[in-house]
Formats: sequence, C-alpha cells, structure tokens
Amino acid sequence: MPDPAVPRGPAGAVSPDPGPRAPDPGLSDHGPRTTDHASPDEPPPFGGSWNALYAAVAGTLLTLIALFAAFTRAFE
Amino acid sequence: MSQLDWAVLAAALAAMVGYGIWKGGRSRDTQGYLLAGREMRWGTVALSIMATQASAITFLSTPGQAYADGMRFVQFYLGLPVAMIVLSATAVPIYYRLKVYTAYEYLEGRFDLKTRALTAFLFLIQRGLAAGLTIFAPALILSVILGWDVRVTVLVIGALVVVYTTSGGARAVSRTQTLQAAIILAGMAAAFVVLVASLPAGVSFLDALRVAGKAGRLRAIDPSFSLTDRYTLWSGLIGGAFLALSYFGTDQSQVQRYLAGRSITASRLGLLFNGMAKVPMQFGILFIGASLFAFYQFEAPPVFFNPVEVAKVRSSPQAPRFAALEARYRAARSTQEARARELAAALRAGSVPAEQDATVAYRAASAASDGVRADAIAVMRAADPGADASDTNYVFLSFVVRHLPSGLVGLVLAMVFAASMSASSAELSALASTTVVDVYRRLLRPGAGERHYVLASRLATVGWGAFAVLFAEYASRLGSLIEAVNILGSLFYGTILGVFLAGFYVQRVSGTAVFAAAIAAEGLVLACFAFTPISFLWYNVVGCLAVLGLALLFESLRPAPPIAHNNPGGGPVPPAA
Repeated sequence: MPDPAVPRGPAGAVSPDPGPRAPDPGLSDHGPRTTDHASPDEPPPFGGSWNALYAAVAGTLLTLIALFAAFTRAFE
Repeated sequence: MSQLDWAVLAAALAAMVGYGIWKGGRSRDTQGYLLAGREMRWGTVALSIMATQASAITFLSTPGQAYADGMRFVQFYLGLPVAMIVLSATAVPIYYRLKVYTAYEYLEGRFDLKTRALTAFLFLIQRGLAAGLTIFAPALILSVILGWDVRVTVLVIGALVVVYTTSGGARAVSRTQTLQAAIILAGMAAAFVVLVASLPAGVSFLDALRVAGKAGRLRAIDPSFSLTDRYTLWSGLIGGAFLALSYFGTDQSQVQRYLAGRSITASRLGLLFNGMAKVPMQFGILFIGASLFAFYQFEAPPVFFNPVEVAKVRSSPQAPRFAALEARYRAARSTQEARARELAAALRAGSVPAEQDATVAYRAASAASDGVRADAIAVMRAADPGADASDTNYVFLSFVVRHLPSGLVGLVLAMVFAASMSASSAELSALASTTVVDVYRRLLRPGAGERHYVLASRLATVGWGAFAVLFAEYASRLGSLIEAVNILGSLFYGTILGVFLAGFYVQRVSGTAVFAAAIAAEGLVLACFAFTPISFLWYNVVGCLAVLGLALLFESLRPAPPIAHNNPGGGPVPPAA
C-alpha cells in the first residue's frame, strides 16, 4: 500500500515540491532524470509503512528520554 | 607499548587501507566515484552515516566529558531522531527525484546559481577547516600517548586517508567504514570489560556506579530551560534537531553517504536506523566515561592526565611546588577512596541516615582533592602560561595505556586511527564532490568527459587532503578543539538549513530574497557569536529562522511583477507556482 504521508510532507507544511526548475546545465551531465529507485511510494521492506517506521523512531526516542530520566533519578 | 601492540596497530592500519583500495575498485565515471555507483545496501548506508559523524574525538573526548561533567552531554543528541524522520520524509525524495550529486545542486533548480554557489562556498569553508580539525585532534592526543611529534601523527593519518579515498572514492569510504566500525566497537567493548574487571576487591560495579551517581556523574537528563546552559533537554531537542537537520540534510559529507544508497528505501532506512541507534550509542560511550570516573573513586588517578604538560612542569623551576602538590593529592585521594568505600557500604546497607552522613563526608573529601588538583594546574600554568589546562581528552587513553593488557592497547589505538580515518575520508570525498560538481564542472569547465571529471575528483581529494593536513599543523594555536569543531559548524549550519527549508517549504520566495536573507542571517549569527552569551546550539535556530523570516520580508518588499506584461490577454492571473 502506498505511503500517503511521504509525498505530502509533514502535516500543515506546504508540499515539499521544489517548484519549477530553471535550465540547469550543471545537471545535464548526470544523464536523463529517470525515476528508477526513486519512488517515494515504495514501501519499506519491514514495518508495514513508512509512517509506522517514523512512529517507531519517535517512540524509541520518547522511551529513551523516559529511561534516561529514570536512570538519573535512580542514581541521584 | 609492547611489540604485540605495535603489531596489532600496524596490522589494523594495513587492513583498513588495503581493504579500502580493494573494495573501492576503479570507477570510470563520476557516479561511480562520487556516489559509489548508487549501489550501497541500507545497512552499509547506516554504518557509513554513523561512522562519518563519529570521529575519533567522539571516542576520546566523550568519555572524558562524562568523567569531568557527567552524562548530560547525551541530551545534545536528542533532536537527532526527529531530524532523521523529517529528512527521510521530505529531503530524501526530493534529492532522489532530481538525481543530484550534491545537496547544493537542488538550490540552483529551486532558486538560482548564486544561491547554489553561496551554500556550496559556505560548506567548503566550514568543512575544509573542520577536516583539518578532524585529523588534528586525534593526532595531537596520539602524539602525546605515543611520544611522537604531532606533525608525524597528522601526516600518518592524512596520508593513509588520502591514499584509499583518492583510489576508491565514495565506495572505498563506505566499505572501509564498515571495517572501521567493527574495530571501534571491539576497542570500546574491550576497554569497558577491562575497566569493570579492574575494580578493587570488595567493590562491585553497582557500588562504584552508585558512588558516581552521588557525585552527579550519572545525571543524564536536565529538564530545566536555559539559553546559556549548553546541555539541557530542551536545547538538545530543539537546538539539536536544527543542528541535525542542517548537518544531515545539507552537509555534503552526510548527503553523499545516503545518496550512495541503491534505492530511496536504502537511504531512508539508513537515516532511520541512525535515528534509533545514535542516542543509545552516545549513551554507551558516555557510560564508559562515567564508569571510568567510578573506577577512579577507588584508585588514585594522576593529578593531571596529559603526560606532556606534566613532564613540562616537572622540568621547570616550578617542579618542587608541583611535586609537593602531587604528594598532597595522593594523600587527599587516599582519604577520598576511604570515604567512597564507606559511602558504598552505606548505600549497600540501605540506611538513610548513614547514607546521608557518608555522602557529606565523601563530597567533602572529593572537594578537597579537587582543590589540590586545581592548585597543581595553577602551578602548571605558572610554569607555562600557554599550557593546556584541560585534560579531558586524555582521560580515556590514559586509562587504556595504564590498565589494558598487551595487545588490547594496540587495538584501542587502532580504534582511534579508524575513527579518525572514517570521518576524514568522508569529509575529503564530500569536499571533492562539491568542488568538482558545484564549482569546477558548473562554473569553470562544463562539458568535459566523465574520465576528465573523475581525474579532477581524484586531484580535488588530494588537494583537500593536503589542505587539511596543512591546516592541522596550524590548529594547535586554536585552543579547545572540541569547542572549535562544534562552534565552527553551528556558525554556518543554521543559515544553510534556512536556505534549504525555504526551498522545500516556502514556494513564494525567490532566489534573490533568499540570497540576501542568507547573507544577513549569517551576519546575525556571527554577531551572536561575537557579542552575546547565547550557547552555540541556539545559533542553528537563530540562523535558520532568520533566513526564513528575512526571505519572506525581502520578498514582500520586492516590487510587484509587471502583471500586465505577463498577462497581455487580460484574463485571470494564474496562481504562483
């Protein structure tokens, strides 16, 4: 299932679309801009969706802060 | 060092360089040389991201930081996971869609050439100088420990890095970083095991930790809010998030790491893994430093950990005063050790009144020892006013040299070289890619063949390596190196991040407005640095918000576009893109 949050960006933010591009001779040497390996809708190999992985990272951070606070209190 | 230590060190160095040359291969195009052919798996991307950020200073200074100031430094990293989520969701898809080689290429398409050139220029200044410090800081410490001239250790690290980075480019950097990470992990684990095993009889590891806790060394979270206190929960979450957004989202030394992923998924997973693993890793390194402090509550440390400064004062006219203070310090530490044992026994017994009495006695003994040490440092400064009064960088390696068995000392020193080389190689590769892609190919020599640009990239790598080594030779005059590295980055990162965020999220702002805002914001950050006591982490917030606010202001002040000219038919005006 495509992950809807990624192309839209964070809630409330303007779309991260970079807008119209000016002619860019510096990029022309890289070859044609194909979209191989570049689909933001590609789901992660585990975790179900990107939103679930983001929630896991955020949850890990909150858990770590709680553990560090408990660690601090335990040894003071 | 024993012969076995030298053998281990030499074998590890040879393995790192040989592995880098072997795995780097021979790239014939710029994508292969500068982005490792975009073929890295997510695990390699993750390790490469972490190894690039963790220089030798991370493994030498961080334990010393916990030894001297406790574990609150871990809060510095709390904003990093937030930044990893934001970058994975927003910046990575944009970079992939545009197939850029450097982060700054995006800015030309979004704004204009001058904005791209400005950010690339700021990056080259900041990262070029930082590369010198990345080499110099561990070289200085190793020179003290090994007894070598610092110019020799700078040259050894610089030459080894340049050899395999020039040969194999970004692929050599990423592949070698996996081997270097294994060496670093083994070295830190070995030091920790020996540390725990070296505690005196009758003192458990938990006893020692509880004493360290009473000394405030295990305080990891400080929820107070202060603009001038460097490490609090809020400065870490807010200032740290801005710093991490800028470092991982706009610093080519990191962008290049995840653009080398074989797919957008590999890049995203590499960043998210870093978001989950970095904070526990830093906590672990700090915990080793706090454990070192706990260890030294039951065994007397030297009065000063930097042996070169101690040798200098011992050969000066201040030697008798220093020797007397050393004797007083040994006596004071003996008393402190006895009080620490009493405190450990009281904590074990669980008697609150006894624990309170023992804590007061222990803290008084600790303050007395600290007073004698401060007097000894004052004598050292009297002997040599230019003496470095901080010895936190030497705490960990001093323990290693004194207490680790033969063979493991060589392994830990190899760890220091590995960490230094992994960070330096990524910096040189990023500097080369920005120099060639954003400056040479874009401004000086467009349209040449791929082989020409690969050769230019190799020459740029050698050139930046030489610059870093030369600057490292000068760096000894800069004072505190850790502060220099952190402040240097924060002086530029906020402005660069503001330019990128304007590109990503503020569609109605033009290149000219952003360019002028970036110049003004950089001036504001430099003014904060020169004239205010604001802590450096907040410079990232100030620079970023100043760019966004000023860009919107400048854009609103620009004269309205000639609508009649653009809309000669007089029909409805289309919305801005």
